[in-house]
Amino acid sequence: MNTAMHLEFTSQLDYLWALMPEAVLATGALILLLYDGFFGGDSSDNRAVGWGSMVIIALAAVANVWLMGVEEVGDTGMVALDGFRTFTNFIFLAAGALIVLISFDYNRREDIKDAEYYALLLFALVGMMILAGSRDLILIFLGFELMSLAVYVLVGFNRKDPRSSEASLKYFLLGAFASAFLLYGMALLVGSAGTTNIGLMGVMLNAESAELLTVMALALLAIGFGFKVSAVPFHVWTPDAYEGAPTPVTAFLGAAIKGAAFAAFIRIFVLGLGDFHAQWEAIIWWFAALTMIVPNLIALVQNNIKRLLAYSSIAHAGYLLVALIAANTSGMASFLFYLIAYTAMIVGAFAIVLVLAGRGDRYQQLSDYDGLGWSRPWAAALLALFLVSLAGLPPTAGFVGKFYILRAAVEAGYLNLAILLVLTTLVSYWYYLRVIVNMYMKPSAEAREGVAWAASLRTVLAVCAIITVLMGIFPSWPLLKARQSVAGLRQATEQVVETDPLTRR
Amino acid sequence: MVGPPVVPALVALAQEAAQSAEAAHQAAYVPFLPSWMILLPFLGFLFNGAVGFFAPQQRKLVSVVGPGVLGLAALIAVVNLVMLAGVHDAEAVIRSYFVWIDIGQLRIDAALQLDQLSILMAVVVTVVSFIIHVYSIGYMGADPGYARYFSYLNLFVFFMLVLVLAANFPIMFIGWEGVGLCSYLLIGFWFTQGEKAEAGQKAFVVNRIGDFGFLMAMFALYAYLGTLDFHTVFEMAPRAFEYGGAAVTLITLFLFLGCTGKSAQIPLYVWLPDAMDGPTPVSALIHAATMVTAGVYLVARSGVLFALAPISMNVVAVIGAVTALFAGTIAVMQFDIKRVIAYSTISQLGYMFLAVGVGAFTAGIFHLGTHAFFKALLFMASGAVIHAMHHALEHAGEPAGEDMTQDMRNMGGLRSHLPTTFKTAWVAALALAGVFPFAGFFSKDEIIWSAGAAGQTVLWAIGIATALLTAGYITRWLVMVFHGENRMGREVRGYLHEAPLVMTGALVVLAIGSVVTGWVNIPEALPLLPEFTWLHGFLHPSFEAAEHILVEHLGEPAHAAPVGGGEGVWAIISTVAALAVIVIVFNALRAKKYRPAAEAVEPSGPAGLLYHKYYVDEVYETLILRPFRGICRFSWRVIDQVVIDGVAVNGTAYATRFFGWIVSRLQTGQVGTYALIVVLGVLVFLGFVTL
Repeated sequence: MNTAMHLEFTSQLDYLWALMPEAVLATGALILLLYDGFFGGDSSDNRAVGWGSMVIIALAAVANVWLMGVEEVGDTGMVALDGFRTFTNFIFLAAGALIVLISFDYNRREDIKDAEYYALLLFALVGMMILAGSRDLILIFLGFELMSLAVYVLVGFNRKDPRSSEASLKYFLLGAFASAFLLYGMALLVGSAGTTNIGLMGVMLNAESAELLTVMALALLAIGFGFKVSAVPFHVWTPDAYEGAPTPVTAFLGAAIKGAAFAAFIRIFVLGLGDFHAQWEAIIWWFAALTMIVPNLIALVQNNIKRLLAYSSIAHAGYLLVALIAANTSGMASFLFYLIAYTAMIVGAFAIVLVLAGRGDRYQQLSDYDGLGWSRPWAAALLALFLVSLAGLPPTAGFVGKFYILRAAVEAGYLNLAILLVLTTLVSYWYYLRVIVNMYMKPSAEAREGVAWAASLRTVLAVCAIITVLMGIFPSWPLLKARQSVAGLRQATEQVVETDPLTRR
Repeated sequence: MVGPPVVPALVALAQEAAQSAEAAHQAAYVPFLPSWMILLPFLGFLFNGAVGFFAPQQRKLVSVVGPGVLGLAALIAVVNLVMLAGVHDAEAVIRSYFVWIDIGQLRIDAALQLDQLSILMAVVVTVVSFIIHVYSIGYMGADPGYARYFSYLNLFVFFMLVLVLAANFPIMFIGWEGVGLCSYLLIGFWFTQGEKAEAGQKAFVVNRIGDFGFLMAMFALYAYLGTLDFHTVFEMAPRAFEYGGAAVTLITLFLFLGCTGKSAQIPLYVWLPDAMDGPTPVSALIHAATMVTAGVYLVARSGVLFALAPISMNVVAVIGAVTALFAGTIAVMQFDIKRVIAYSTISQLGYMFLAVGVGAFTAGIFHLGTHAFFKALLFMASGAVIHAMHHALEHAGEPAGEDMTQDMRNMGGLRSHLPTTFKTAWVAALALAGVFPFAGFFSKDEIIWSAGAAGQTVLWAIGIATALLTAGYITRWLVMVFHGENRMGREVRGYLHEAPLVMTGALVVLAIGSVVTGWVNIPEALPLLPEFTWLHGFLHPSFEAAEHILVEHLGEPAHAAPVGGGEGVWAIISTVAALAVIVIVFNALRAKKYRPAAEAVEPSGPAGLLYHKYYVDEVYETLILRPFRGICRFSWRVIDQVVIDGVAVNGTAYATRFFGWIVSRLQTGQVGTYALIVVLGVLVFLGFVTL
């Protein structure tokens, strides 16, 4: 952009500019709430609010485009202004838009009063974007909690369904637990480094002679984030929460929330504390290994499709952890690539599950998918596409994404994790293909009432399917963009740090 | 029908045209809308596919859009040809549109190479396709799958253009596979008839064997050179490969294996005769004029590699010559109107390989171009005949299966019923037989002459023998179909009628092409004619490097045939001999009384051997397929079902699932348990990092 704006972070106003997309979203969410308070009825078909939230997301995306042209100068601020942030923002906003679109019909079908629903969704998005875009532990925690609180409520939003309430409570209790660990880790880290700024931290602390305090802090931080990305053994809340939550929220949990937590994870561990790779490597290694093995095994014996996808989503966190541990440009680029692909395929899969479940979410067993290939060929074909992509078979985005992660892992010397990734992927074929076998090779289940494929849903499915296929066949362009957005990130941090007066002691 | 996206497209068109015009002024070749040449058929495919899917009864739009996009593409191709011809020794232009694959060292662009060879091929492909599309309006008019048919046909042309315009091996391979796919879809177009679906499968499987060769060649090239771009490969090859070395020989042999599959040469030719089960315009377009010539194009395109491998060159030439003779003999004893021409196609493809195999690349491409016209014409004349037979039998209430409508023993004397078809068929036949001044005379003669000039006495002799054979079988075909007495019932005869104007019009256009396309390359040796070697000059830049290597290692080609005599003398001898054969066969067969197919006895003795196509299908069945099925059955019953499924797969699966079941027991649903797991996890991890 020609008229590039420069932010020096000398006044508080600069932060408002730097947080423009978040500000747009938050303001919009508040307006939605007010609108509903004044004009909203009791009707569960609150489409005006839904479309309003789409408009707000679009405005935030515009703000994000503007943000791409903004440069920071001088001191390192609390908010990052880099390609990584704008890139992830786009993914979150897109995921948010897809979730809003699949929520319309679900909420009407399940009779959920939904004005607050969309506002909460937007607040969660704000939290995610702050979480993924901050360079300061305080802001990160703020984003973390803003996101989590909104999502706790969203998970329990279907008040008429006891499963939903139960899921929300479990998620909340264990989430509070995790927040405590995270906060504890942050406190220890601040105590040993003397700053809350991630960029400075890497310089203030000496990686060569790391104190026990720092190592403990790293471990606690990893555990806190491990909870949010549902890394084994801190994944225990995931299946129950995923199963009980309203299906659009499940998709949101699986795709966007995990992505935001991962982005912050990467920002702290790779960009901020990359020098401590030797110290955190072992923890993440075990996280990755366990998170690839355990859920893939458990998924084999699941008979509920939402639970199956929940375990699949946990397993994908394991693959993303491999990208994280590689801690190089390829790793971060492959993370971003996979995040897009993963969002498209998991949202697509959940969208189909959502529609086929029917009123009251009755049909969620694998046996309900028998013979679907003949009774509903389009739905079955699309679901098969998304499952094949989740399984990582060519020519889909899932295959290319896994391939890039594998390459990053091999480049960084983690051959053992790469092998484990391939083996666990192999195991996962069983349960993905099992659904496909049910759809195409078993006689049809008993006839059910027809389901409505609303235009909004068709749009989501088309977008997800196109992304899944196109990124599988033409992966170069998105990968190039991902690489560009992470290229030189670590060096950039270091440069800023070198010019910082604090570090020139 | 046309939405807003057309507007920016038109703007882009205008801009590009303006740029092209400006650049042409500077006397360098700037391609004119090359991407649109490819995109137009693809858009046609999307449109017709959508019509076929949503409104299969809609025919008018399809009849306009299907051939229309091809007409525009042909126009663009011809404009490019004219522009290119206006620039002396223009350098190849490579247009890269986007990066397709970028993994490590391997970078593959979606790029087009626009040079003399590719543009000439594009012109042949689009012009012949356009004519055949128009013809199809009449031929397929009553078919319920009309829109589907045109969408496949458009898609085929798209892939064929990708094949000939590609700038690297992988993109070419996409086209290569794509045309194979379309061929498969179109052979089995009437898939409800089991035998036709099987013919489609046979083509598919046989072609896979060839594709294996193509793939192996690509892998080897990448391993040796680290790139797959034509431009770089052919530039590096002379330095990277030793002349006659094992590497380049292996690579070219693998490439040629691919060619034998796609272009129906020994030993993989068996699919092409069966491919005649598809609609006749498809036989004309795919299985005569364009797709099957892809192998010849590949050898010509990779001329530098082949020139470096004299063994491979010899293999190509020998296989080509033997196939030409072999298929020619089979054609002599076939009774199916399309099979005769199918074997003739295999034979003529053999000629083209003979040409490129002796280093006469221009002659091979020349014959490819002329053959596209007269062979398409022969097929489409057959189509008109079958069309007429079908309608007549149907009107008379008799069975109108293919055994009735395509057997030449049921025809005869159609001359008076189908006058236009009859005349154009004669033109095509004379062109195929190589009679002066028809197109085939110039191109075939140049091939035979080149074989002799390269010192290949035996191949030269085979070439001449096959030429006489060709004149013989095509005259037999003409006589059986058009001359003598009609062998159908009187009642049926009354219903015979000429094809509609869209079909006969296409025949006439092709007939003109079958005459004049030969005149683009008139050798100086011919008496009484001006020398006009335009094609040689035009294609010179494309084959310069390969020819340079050949001359360097093998010397200049000779100026006399192996048994003496110059090019002019032999040209006169061959045309006179061909005419003599035609006259003899014509007179011998015209009086012969054929019995209708139903009453005929199967030929026996040597004729039977030819009638049964040397029993090659049966030999393949016994020697390859049957043992193969045995191995397959063993693998299935013993190795797969018992060892792999029983022990390995199910065993592993059960063990894995059992483990999964155990772990899943931890997922109790109790928050207390979960908290306990979390705390234990925290303790373990903290202990792990601190201790």
